[in-house]
Amino acid sequence: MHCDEFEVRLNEVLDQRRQPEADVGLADHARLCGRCHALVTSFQAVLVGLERSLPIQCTDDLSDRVHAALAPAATLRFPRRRRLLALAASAAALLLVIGPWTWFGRGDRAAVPPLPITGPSATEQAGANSQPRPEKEIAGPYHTLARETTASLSVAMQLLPVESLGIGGAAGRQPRKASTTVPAEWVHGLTDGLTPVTRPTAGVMSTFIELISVKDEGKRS
Amino acid sequence: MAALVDRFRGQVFGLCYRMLGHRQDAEDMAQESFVRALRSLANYDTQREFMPWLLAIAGNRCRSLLSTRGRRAIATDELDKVADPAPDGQAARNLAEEIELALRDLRPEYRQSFVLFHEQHMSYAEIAETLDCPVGTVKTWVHRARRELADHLLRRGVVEELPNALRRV
Repeated sequence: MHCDEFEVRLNEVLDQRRQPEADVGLADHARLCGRCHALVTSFQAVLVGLERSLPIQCTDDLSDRVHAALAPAATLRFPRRRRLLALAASAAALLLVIGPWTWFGRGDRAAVPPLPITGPSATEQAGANSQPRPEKEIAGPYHTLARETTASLSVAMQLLPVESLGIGGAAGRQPRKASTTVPAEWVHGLTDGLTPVTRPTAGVMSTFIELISVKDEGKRS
Repeated sequence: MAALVDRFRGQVFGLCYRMLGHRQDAEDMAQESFVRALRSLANYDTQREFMPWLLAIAGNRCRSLLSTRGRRAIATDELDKVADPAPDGQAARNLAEEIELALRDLRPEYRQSFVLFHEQHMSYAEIAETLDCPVGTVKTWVHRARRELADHLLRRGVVEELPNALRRV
């Protein structure tokens, strides 16, 4: 056996692909050749030294360091996404606020004309000696009552035949097709649902009647 | 994440330390390897073994660092202890340090394949997958690494003094 072949076989032994006990020629050559014997000893020393020089242990905070190194990247990676999320949330909130306001507000405006109910009636104005009423007082219980009464009246104006009332409909609204006879029970049933008129509301009512009454083509009863 | 780091920290740090020969550099490279691996988990091919993939990242990081500072690994704290040109009986006791010194003189690919085979106990096929090269190439690198390490010990006269020490092991 040549020394080169010996080294190849020796590597196969170290690769655990050859059993040294089964290779008699390998052991014989190592006994006879001093150079190859030294090579065997050196290989053995390498492996022993490697076992002795197991690397020192890593510090315990490696996972913390990895976590810390990943954390800035996470915040850098998502700011754009966060901005988009914030924008989407803002848009959704805006839609939630504006959508119903636009939808229902438009419906209210179509059903009931806007009322100048923030101001006092002419009678009250005269009684108050032309002093402007504070905003807080205007928005008090009279204001609520006036709104309810106005709504009830607008419903009544839509339902009642125009001819029976003897007045024109609200501006821009087509009058309901008139019937020649109006049952008295129907009128009483309708009026039962109306809010009782009180004195402060009467002032608002008169303002409202002035508004919806009538322009040139209308006529008062 | 912490579980993954704890599971593979020994292997990754061991390879980095063997490749770089410097504790602080090895810790930095181990950290960077884990960070890169975790960021690339989405691209990880689940058909592959995880550890060879992770060690491939670590090896690449170490070789990149070695290429920037020169091929040879540097150990500033341990180099002086074994750098005497004529070792005496102390060298046999410092066999581990001699091996570390010899490892630093190896080419990076020899060193990496040798460490993966003998220390990480990976097969030639796994090393070939890790290093993305043929199995035959890996075998050649491991054999050459052994030979160069053995020659280093012979050159420094360590082996002649070893038989008694080796018998005690």
